[in-house]
Amino acid sequence: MSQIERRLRQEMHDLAQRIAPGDLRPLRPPPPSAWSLGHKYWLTPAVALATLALVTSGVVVARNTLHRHRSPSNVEMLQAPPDPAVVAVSSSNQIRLLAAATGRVVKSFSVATAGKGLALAPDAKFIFVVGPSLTLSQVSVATGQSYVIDTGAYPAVSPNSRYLAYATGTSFTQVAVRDLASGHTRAISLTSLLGAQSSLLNHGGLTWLGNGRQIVAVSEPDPVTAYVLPAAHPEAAQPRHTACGQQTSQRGLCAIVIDVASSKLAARPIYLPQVTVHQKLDLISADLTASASFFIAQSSLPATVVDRVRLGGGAPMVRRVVELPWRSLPVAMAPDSDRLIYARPGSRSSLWVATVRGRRLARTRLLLADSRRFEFSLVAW
Amino acid sequence: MGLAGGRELFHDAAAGRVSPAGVTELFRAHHLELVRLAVMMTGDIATAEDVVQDVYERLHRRWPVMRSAAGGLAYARASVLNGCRSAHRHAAARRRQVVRLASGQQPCGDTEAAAADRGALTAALRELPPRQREVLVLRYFCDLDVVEISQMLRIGPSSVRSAICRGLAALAAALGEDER
Repeated sequence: MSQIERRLRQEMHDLAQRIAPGDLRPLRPPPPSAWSLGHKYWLTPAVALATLALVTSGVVVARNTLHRHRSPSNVEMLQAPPDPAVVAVSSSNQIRLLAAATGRVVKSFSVATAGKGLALAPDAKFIFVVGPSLTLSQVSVATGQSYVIDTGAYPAVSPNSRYLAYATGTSFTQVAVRDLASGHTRAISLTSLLGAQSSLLNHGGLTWLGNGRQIVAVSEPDPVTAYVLPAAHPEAAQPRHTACGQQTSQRGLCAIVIDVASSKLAARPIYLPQVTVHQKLDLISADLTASASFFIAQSSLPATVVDRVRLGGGAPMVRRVVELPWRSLPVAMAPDSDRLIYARPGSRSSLWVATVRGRRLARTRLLLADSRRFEFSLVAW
Repeated sequence: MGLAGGRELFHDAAAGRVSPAGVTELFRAHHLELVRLAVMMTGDIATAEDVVQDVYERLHRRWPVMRSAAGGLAYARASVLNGCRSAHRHAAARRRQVVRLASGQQPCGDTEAAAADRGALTAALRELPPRQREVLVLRYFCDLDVVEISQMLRIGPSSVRSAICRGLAALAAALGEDER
């Protein structure tokens, strides 16, 4: 064996060893329908005939039904595992639940919203919305009834739909975690971590991680808080340049990880060196297929990108997930992390859903377009 | 090293055919190895993971028509190589588009891949034509012999030998070294 052969073998071996099993995304199970008929080939014509009959009868029934009256309710559909099935979209005075696959309106609610957060519980039983004067309300999907929970913004529901996290406090520097069953609420003040002149209100970033034990928040300097905070907390009047909320650290974007596992909430800053601070940032959602990953979007020229941040024992790892088409804004990631909703602004803005594959968007479909009756502002998946 | 010695888990003993559970088991057992093979070809972990995921889903769909269980792992390897070839074509087209749009700005790279991309020889490997790269990876990473490679790629043994020689010569030339 020549020297170059030995060297090539050694370098490939070294490169392979750098890829550890823990670094890999787990394989997603394929859709069960892909092989449901298996080796029973004789079933294929029978199934085709049955499908044809069903479709024909379905069309006839649907036409008759449409002539008589509209379907009263689609709540039954929501009793099925709702994971990626429905998407909540809000306008200034209405929330609509759309079927993610078709864009069909499943249900709508008349609720005033303020554009400071919208969350859909993973079990699709409740929607949490921030109304005027930053009142955080809980809306029942089944009945449409709503009631005010607290003053808060940017609600986020835990993966098991049991806890609700939101930004709150005099100057929105606290994070509260509410047990939706008992109503018991815990809160932690992030003032010392954020520093003066920063809040959680200006950015819109709270998300649960897939493990259900941690929340990630991103803050940035807030001109409103600069006036409010010194009065409420005189000790925090002088901004510390090292504070997380100032986002001036040379170590990269600062995010706060809040641990909710124990009875007393605990918070710590983490730095993401690969994320450029001066770009417009948004926390999209957690990656529910992994225990400690979340998605972050950066809007900049020439492209808008979505990165996955993975928290582990060492430094956080940032990996590019997808680059979006020109002038597109990512707004929500599917719970399975395989699809993305993004907005295309314009004279008639539109929402699009696409499958994320190999850093590209595939199977792009129009989900919703603005109309005079409904102009979307927020999306939750 | 690599995929050598991987067990053939594709076989459904009762039916004597490929089974969907066998496909899952195969990919569970060889996920890391298949991703490593794809990384050798693409140089990008994210792309490699996507390629392996695609192959997994495709094999899962196609299991009824795969009557022979014996070549499960070989089939998976060959599918990964095909997927890498497609990914390479798409990436090239995408790079051209991005460079044109950004007026010369380079697209952001995968940070982990960049960290992993320190070997000069493996970097030069990725500049080779696809066929030579595949042959070298199968020969020196998967430890397959010429006959096995020729069966997997469906080319003659002499073509395999020729591609190995040309590939090694090109690597040596790229590094400015003597092939010996």
